Amino acid sequence: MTSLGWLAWAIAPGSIALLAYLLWRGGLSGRLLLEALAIGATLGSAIGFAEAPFDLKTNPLHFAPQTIAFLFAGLPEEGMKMLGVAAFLRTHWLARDRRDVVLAAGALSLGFSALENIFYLAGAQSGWAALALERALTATPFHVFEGLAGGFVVASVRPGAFGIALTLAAWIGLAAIHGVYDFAVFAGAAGAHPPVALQRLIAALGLDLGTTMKAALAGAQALAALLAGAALISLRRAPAPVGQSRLARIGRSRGAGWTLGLLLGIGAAAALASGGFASVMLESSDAFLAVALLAVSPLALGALFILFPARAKSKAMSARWRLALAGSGAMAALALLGTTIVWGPSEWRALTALRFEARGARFEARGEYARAIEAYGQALAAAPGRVDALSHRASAYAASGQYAPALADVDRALRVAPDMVGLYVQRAEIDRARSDPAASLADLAPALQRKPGDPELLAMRGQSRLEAGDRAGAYADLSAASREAPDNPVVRRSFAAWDVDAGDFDAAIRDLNARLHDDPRDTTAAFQRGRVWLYKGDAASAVADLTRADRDPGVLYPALWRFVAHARLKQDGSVELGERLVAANEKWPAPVARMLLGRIDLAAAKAAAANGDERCEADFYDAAAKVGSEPAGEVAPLLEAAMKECPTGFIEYEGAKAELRRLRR
Amino acid sequence: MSTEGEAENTARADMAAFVARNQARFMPLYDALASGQRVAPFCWPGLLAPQAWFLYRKMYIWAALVSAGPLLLAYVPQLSWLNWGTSLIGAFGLRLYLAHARRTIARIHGTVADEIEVQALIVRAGGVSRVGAVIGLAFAFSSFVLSLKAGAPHVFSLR
Repeated sequence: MTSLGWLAWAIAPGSIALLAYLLWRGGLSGRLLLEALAIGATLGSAIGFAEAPFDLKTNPLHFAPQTIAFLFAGLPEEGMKMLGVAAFLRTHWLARDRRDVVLAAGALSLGFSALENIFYLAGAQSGWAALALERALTATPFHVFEGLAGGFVVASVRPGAFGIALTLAAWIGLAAIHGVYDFAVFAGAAGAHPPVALQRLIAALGLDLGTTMKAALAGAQALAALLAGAALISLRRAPAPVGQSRLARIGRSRGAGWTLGLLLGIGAAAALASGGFASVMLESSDAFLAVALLAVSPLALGALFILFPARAKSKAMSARWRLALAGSGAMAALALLGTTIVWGPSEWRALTALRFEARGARFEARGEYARAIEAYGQALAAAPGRVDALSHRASAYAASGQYAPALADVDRALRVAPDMVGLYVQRAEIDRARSDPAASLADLAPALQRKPGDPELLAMRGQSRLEAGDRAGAYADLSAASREAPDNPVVRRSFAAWDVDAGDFDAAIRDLNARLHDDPRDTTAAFQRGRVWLYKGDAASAVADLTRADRDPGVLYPALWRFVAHARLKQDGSVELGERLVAANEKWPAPVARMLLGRIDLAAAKAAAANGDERCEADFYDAAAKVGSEPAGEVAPLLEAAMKECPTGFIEYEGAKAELRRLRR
Repeated sequence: MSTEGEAENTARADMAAFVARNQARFMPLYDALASGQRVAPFCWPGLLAPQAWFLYRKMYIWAALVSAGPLLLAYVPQLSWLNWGTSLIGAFGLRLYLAHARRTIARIHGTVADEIEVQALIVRAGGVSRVGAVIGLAFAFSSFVLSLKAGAPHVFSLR
């Protein structure tokens, strides 16, 4: 088991135990706590059974994220919890007063959440450890906080119309907070399609979807924690517990609350401070928000352990303890100072370089390669010879079609780190992009020397050999790779590319079927199969696969191919492509999308291209969209031109070649 | 009347107060068990809708066991046959209920000295929950729908 797995095993039950401890400390009897947990688990099961026929995990009915978040999660879950409090806890014989009902409501929600966690983790497969940690720090306390707030309302209202109205209002409010929380999770997930209106709003505010959803997630948690905090603090005056065991007295003491509260609070505050510092350095709120959404609930929990319930101070700290505390503080300060002096300067240089690298990555993601290159240069000025910065700058140079400086940067990086296989692979990719498969093969040789028999390296070499015209050599490499790792995604996809080159589309489909059977979420394989369906002449299957592949809002290529497939079916794909343009930024190939939508012409799209590679793409998509609607004799020269222009490693080269083969047949 | 007989009468009265509804079914069983007879009462409602019956009778821990149990067992293919065990637990509901009632009454007596308060707490701890029955029946209906769909164990997909 990995260290993350061990951590998950410690934190996930720890979070449940900590929340139960908070509720018990407030004066809840052990029996009522247990029964409330059981009621929560029962109600959770009831909702689970009621919603199971909709199969929301695979979502065959294609409910939108907002429908799932508000109608299937927020409203029923909060409603069921409040109903449970009203029906079972308000009248429970162990609930002596309003405070007991509120705390038991928290326990009910804890039982509900604990059961939900089990189901989530049972279905999570390989990603269970990260999910367990995430849920332990976010969803579990969130449920309890919402439950405490809902329980406070149910326990406080008087019978009658006004009480019912108030309870309904509280239900809607809590369901809305829960809905925002879940919507942020669902809509922020990879492959989700939040409403276009929301995407437009977020874009108009100059924000990006991921950041906004993280902020919404942290905000919903903070709001739930504030409501729960307000409820508990209004009930914090507790009668002094009597007739308890020594252990129970210690557990419910002021000192125990302060110790745990400070530990949680300092830990969460330190994490938030680190996240804030990283955000300042990386010039992006992402790092802070990523930490904030995990730290909000522990911070709130720490505060509640200190503030709730109110306990009398026992006695003043002795002089000896004060001296020991002051001494420990001074030692810690000295250690911190020494560490800063010794390691501070080098760490600062690394952080500065990291900051410019992050800036460069942002420019690169927006297609602003010149500014990205400049930022990476600043990173290298701060930390000369830094391999990451050199490699990133090489990528930016290559993406803008400047292959010579790209190769020079990779060579510089290789002089610093000659055993880094990834750099040889990067060099090979650059050589493929500049249509020099022979050089690519030479680059892969030292990589294979360092990692002999590596299936992905062999598959890459197979691809380069294929592009160099050595079909037999390519087949030998791919076969060797397949023997090493028959289910490796790169190997399977490379074999499919080999089949396409041979014109055997059925074999390519079989390879990709096998890959997608192994991992239905492999969008690269779905994209590749969608293209093969198109070459084969089955545009309807192509549309289905290309839709499946279209999961990253920032990547427009599957949407361009889907538009082409729609055109083959004589369907208008402009609405879908137009919607995708809203989510994408101005990065290439946005001008190609506008050209296909008829908003600009081919010349304008090519004028917007930064280099020959992008111009070849504009030519290809212009020609591909015309196949079937214009005479083959007119389209074929356009495809031939695109094929001549495009580097052999490009999908547009493969597409032009396959389409020409089909047209000529 | 002897002290022992008086105590027995008090215990019976407490049990009757706890049971509240349908005493005609429960009290003869209580009497038989109290007199040392071996009885194995069969609980039809518990067999047919265990979740509803346990919630109706405020036996929350048993309700959780028969509700969450089948869902959890669905993830362990080798043990999924144990799902029918929930109904079996429900069939023993009457005996479980009487044991639960005796324990709760004893606990109330152990923690509260004032007899009026004891009686009030027994009435509050016992009795029935109609809302519980409704929730339990909705549960049974949902599981019936799910069984028609022959569902996979992907029961929860919400956060």
